[in-house]
Amino acid sequence: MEPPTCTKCRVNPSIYYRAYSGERLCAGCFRESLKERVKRTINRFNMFEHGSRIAVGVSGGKDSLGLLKLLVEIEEETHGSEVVAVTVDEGIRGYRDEALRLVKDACSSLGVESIITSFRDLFGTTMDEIASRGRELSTCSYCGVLRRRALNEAAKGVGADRLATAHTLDDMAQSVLLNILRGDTGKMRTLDPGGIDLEGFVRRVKPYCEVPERESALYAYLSGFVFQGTPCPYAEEAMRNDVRGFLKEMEAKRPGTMFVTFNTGLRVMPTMRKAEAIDHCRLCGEPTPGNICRVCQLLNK
Amino acid sequence: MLVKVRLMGLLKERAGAGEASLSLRGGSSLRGALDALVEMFPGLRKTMGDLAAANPPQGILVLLDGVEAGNLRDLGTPVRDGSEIVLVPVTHGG
Repeated sequence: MEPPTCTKCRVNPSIYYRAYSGERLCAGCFRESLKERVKRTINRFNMFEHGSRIAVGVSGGKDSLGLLKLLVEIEEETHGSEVVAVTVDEGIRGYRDEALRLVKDACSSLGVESIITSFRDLFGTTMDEIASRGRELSTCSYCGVLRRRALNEAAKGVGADRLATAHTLDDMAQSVLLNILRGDTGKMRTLDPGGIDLEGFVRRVKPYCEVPERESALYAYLSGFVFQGTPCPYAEEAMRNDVRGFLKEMEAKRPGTMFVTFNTGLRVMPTMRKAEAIDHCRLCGEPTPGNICRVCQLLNK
Repeated sequence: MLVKVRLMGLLKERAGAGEASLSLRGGSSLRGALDALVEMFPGLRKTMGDLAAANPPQGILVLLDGVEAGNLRDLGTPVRDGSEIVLVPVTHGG
């Protein structure tokens, strides 16, 4: 059967139906609309300045590769900021090896400088080693904390004033619901896609926060990126998986649910924001709101 | 009729092959093609079952001759002899 004509250009056959807006888009209009969406998000949250040096956290997955490509294009057309890819090697045999190859290939084809940092170099250990030890917390809890530190260190190392991560609309909506379900109101303020200026931290921004994961996957496919085949062997975020499944089901039944959830989180976020007194970790000297930073707490357990 | 299938990322890994050729009865739908695919590659059963549970499936992009199934008649869309189906995982690998 023949698809309807694109509702935007009214010339080409459409390839994608955007249920939450009713648009039917051809490949060209889909790519262009995604770029415009990311541009609007950057402006809405005042993410960059002219001449920013942007470190993009690139894992080798479809979201971060797509974001890297879009930021290179957008910055060439607008702010003229420099874009550098920073990748963290957590030390997960098989899984990360494949991703590092994908990052190298993508950066080479986009002409982007690429920096790799590793848990081994920064913390003297790997996720394979951490996973093999007796632990009180899930592997994802360790990996998340160490990755955030590693990305910040890598961004500082390349002289970046912004650190862009490829959190999608789905990630953001999941985080809003997770914080509510866990009663973790303090974490709501970290959802600000424009980031916060804190001493010792490169400001983290999320330019993909209004891009549904489904559209990120389509964009990566249309861009010809190779999709990573090996799943993380330690992925065990049970509660996030439950929330992900629930939101996807709701989105299928009631298109727009993800946007509503995310925007509701943004509306309540200012009431959760408080001035954070930053001190320095007594063990490693890195900035932290307490006496001992979370990285040292985890690695010394 | 013959239909070609291309599998991306995790789906390729689970199937152990990136491409397949399906022999289907005339008038088959996308759902019938996906059922035949799982029959051919039992390693896909769990992943496809989870990802394609909803209609339209939310955890997977199903493209028929370059058009996403949600832009057609979802999994009820009829396939033609010589069609190409591409399956792209959505949830895995951010």
